[in-house]
Formats: sequence, structure tokens, C-alpha cells
Amino acid sequence: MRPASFRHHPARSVDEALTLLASEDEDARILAGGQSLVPLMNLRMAQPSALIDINGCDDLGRIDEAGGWIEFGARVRQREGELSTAVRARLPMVAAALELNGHPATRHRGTICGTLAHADPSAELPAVAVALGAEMVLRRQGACRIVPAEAFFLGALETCIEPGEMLAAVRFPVQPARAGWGLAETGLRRHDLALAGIAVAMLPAGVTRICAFGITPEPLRLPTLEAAADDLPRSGGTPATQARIAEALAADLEGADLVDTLHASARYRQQVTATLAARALADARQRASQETAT
Amino acid sequence: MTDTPPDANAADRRLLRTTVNGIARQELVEPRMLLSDFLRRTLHLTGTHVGCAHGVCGCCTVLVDGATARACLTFAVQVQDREVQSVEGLGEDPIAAALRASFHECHALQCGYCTPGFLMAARQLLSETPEPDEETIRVALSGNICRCTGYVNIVRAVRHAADSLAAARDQQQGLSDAR
Ligand SMILES: Cc1cc2nc3c(=O)[nH]c(=O)nc-3n(C[C@@H](O)[C@H](O)[C@H](O)COP(=O)(O)OP(=O)(O)OC[C@H]3O[C@@H](n4cnc5c(N)ncnc54)[C@H](O)[C@@H]3O)c2cc1C
Ligand code: FES
Ligand code: FES
Repeated sequence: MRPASFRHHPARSVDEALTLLASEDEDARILAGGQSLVPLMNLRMAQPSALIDINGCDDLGRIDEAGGWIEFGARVRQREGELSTAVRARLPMVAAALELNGHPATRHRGTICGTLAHADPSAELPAVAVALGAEMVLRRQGACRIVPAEAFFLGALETCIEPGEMLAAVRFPVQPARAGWGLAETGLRRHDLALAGIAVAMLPAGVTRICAFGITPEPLRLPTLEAAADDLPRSGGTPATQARIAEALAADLEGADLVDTLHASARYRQQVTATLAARALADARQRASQETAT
Repeated sequence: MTDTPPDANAADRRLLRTTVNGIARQELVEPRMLLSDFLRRTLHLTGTHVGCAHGVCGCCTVLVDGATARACLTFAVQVQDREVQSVEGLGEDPIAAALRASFHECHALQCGYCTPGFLMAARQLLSETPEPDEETIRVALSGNICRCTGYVNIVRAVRHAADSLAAARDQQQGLSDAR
């Protein structure tokens, strides 16, 4: 249970990290919080040739709010995001997702960008990023591109980050007053990776964006359920509502590559997602109406 | 490729300067050496236990610059110029002292393998949230696994420590009011 040797490059700034990335081979990796990479290295499931350690990059450690967006640099820890008053007030679903993202000791080191770059199918934040319409800031030496969250996740542990590139920051659109949100998940132990979960973002203009996680290799938008969400009866969890949610979900999951493991079968994941969707939708509605009242 | 701990004679070694439990340390380490091995094998601080070596059990929890972290998921070279505290370094810390007494009193350990990690996690909780309810305690300790106790007595011990610290604060308040 010990990692193989690697070249360790502590970077002091994003520019230095990008230079190091450009000079290293294709098996070099960014070392952020290490909360997913180091377990894989200890198990020898990952043997990177070199690690570009961004923990010393103070210029990547900022949470900036400007022009209707909140941007997290690649060194911002999950716990820093979760405790930030700006995030709690204007991106409450991000704060809630970060609280569910492992345990205090892993959140002290794990980064916000790291959980997105790692793209675990069971991770909360990728789905929240898709539901909220976040944008990824990808940089390589001398170039930068912006990719919407929906185009960023390609599969289990797979993103569109190319060799030589890093996720320098992620930005989320600040949620308007009167926006509702709901986040529900179930798992084997609290605050650990989810077996199934769902993120609902309800914008005041009647736009609802819903994204599931843990049930397919990448976060999955649910357009049929989104369209149905608006005319579901406000009363919530009646059997009729539940049946309509299950029906819409079944349409969205038709032909999807459902995750099927020892811990939870594909059928269970689909059924529990319908229940979680009802819960998250009810929460989102309630929060939206509360916001109106104040 | 062997599973032996990093070798002191290996080629790529760095001079690591760090502070552990208040003592400045300088050692040559390979980059792949985990902080848990550095503490246990290089410094012989064996209070930090290793249960799983992949982040799941919480036995190896230490403080890096005052915040809990998994020693098995941190490379020793990453604590360059930082302050590390292991269970041995909690010494006279009042929260840790209350926790130790409460773990004893409430029978919160059996084999004790998990205890250092629980003490670190519980200390972090009580330093941030002095009067946690049971739910808060359970969530804060959710990253630590105990194979013996069933957790009930651990949760009771943390609550007990919080109560005794609160009583001590009240008493102090009373004394200063009386003065
Ligand atoms: C006990 C435990 C419980 C956990 N529970 C959850 C959970 O419930 N939900 C959840 O979502 N996660 C969970 N995690 C994983 C989470 O804590 C990790 O923090 C996260 O998945 C990775 O973030 P990191 O900063 O630690 O990245 P690292 O481990 O440092 O990196 C992960 C991968 O992403 C790459 N990478 C990281 N940052 C960048 C970047 N900026 N640009 C390009 N590539 C990058 C690395 O090269 C590596 O391949 C858990 C982990 C543990 C140990
Ligand atoms: S030994 Fe580090 S978490 Fe289990
Ligand atoms: S007391 Fe034995 S594992 Fe907790």
C-alpha cells in the first residue's frame, strides 16, 4: 500500500504549474487535494510519472465574485467553499454539495476543481455544476478555453481536459433571489460517495434544470423530468405525483448506460432516483416559495 | 516494484523541514513517502495508526496547520514548512484532555486502534462547535471507522466532553463575575 516513485514538482504559481505540465510527459498529473489520486496511487491503480503539486499556488487559492459569477481557483479547498458566506448566500446548492463531499478531514484538503477534474460518477459537485450551468476554465501554456459543465464530463473519470491542460478554475452563475434548489442522495455511509443522487435548480423564469449522479458514468440531465416538473401538482409526494416522476425518469433513462454494481443494481438505482427526485423537487419548490415570501 | 517503505538510500530525496508537535525536524525523504510513514517510521511517532491506507477509515487523522487531514493521503514533502500535530502532540490541550477523560469514563474504546483518529476528529469538532447535538457529532465522526464499539459510547463520550468543558467554562465565568 505504498505509491510507486514519481517526480515531485512543487509549483508556486499557475504559470509555473503550466510550464511544468508542458515540459513533463503525458503521464504527469496535477496533485491537488490528493483525496482521490493518492488512494489510487497507494493501491497502485495509478502510477503517474510526475506530480505537479499545486498546493503552493497561492494565485489559485481565491474565491472571486464578479459580474454575476463566483469563481473558484484550482487550489480552493472544499471546506473553504462550504464555509464562505458568499457561497452560502448566493450558491447555496454548491455549499450543500460540498458539505456532502466526504468528511471534514478530506474536505480540508480536497479541492473544488479536483472533484470536477476527477469526475467520479458518484460525486455530487459535477451534477450540481451541470444543473447550475457552471463553466470550466481550462488553461494550458499560452492558451485558455471555457467549457460549459455539460460538455466537460465525458464518462466515468473522464473529462475533456487534454494532456498539458489543467482546470485552472470553475465558475458558477450566482443564483438569483427566488431561485429554488434541491439536492438529495443516498449512499452506504453518510457523506461518502453516493449510490444515487439528484440536483434540481429552479430558476424564477420557470426554467428547471435537473441532473442525476451515481446512476450513469457521467452526470445526466433529465429533460423529460425537467419539462414535467413545472406542471407537477404543488402538493408534492402523492402517489400520483410519484408515478408521474417515475414515468418521466423512465423516459429519460431509456437506453442509458445505468451503473450496476454489487452495492446497488441498476433497477434499484433507477427506483431510488425517482424517490430522490420527488424529494429534491419538493425541496426546490419550497425554497423557491420561501424566497418569494421574503 | 516492491511494497517496501521508501528507502533512505533511494536516489531522489529531498530535505524536508517541518515542525511536528512543536519540534522542528529535518529529514531526507523520498517524494513518495507518505506522511503516515514519516511520522511512524522516521520519527517513531506510532500513535498515528494506519488502518486502510486509502482514506476510508480515519485512523491516520492528524492536524496540518491546525486542520484535520489524512496522513495516508498526504506526502511528507507536502508538509514542508508546515506544522503537523499528531495524537502525541495533543498533550495539555484542554479539549483533548476532556476527550481523553470522557473516552475513559464512557468506555469509548475497546482495542483502541481507531482512537487516535477519533480524538483528532472530535477535537476538531469541539474546537469549532463547542456544544454539538448528537446528529452533529455523528456527522463530524462519519469519516472514522470503529470495528469494536458500535459508536454509541464514542458519541456519548464526545457529548460528555462537551458538557464537562461547558461546565468548566461556566465555573470560570462564575469566578470572574464574583471578582
Ligand atoms: C473517505 C473519502 C470520502 C469521499 N467522499 C466523497 C463524496 O462523498 N463525494 C465526492 O464527490 N467525493 C468524495 N471523495 C473524493 C473527494 O474528497 C476528492 O477530494 C475529490 O474527488 C478530488 O479532489 P482532490 O482535490 O483531492 O483531487 P486529487 O486527488 O488531487 O486529484 C484527482 C484527479 O484529478 C486531477 N486533478 C485535480 N485537480 C486538477 C486540476 N485543477 N486540473 C486538472 N486535473 C486535476 C488529478 O490529476 C487526479 O487525476 C471522498 C474521498 C475520501 C478519501
Ligand atoms: S489509514 Fe488513512 S484513512 Fe485509513
Ligand atoms: S476500539 Fe477497536 S476499532 Fe475502535
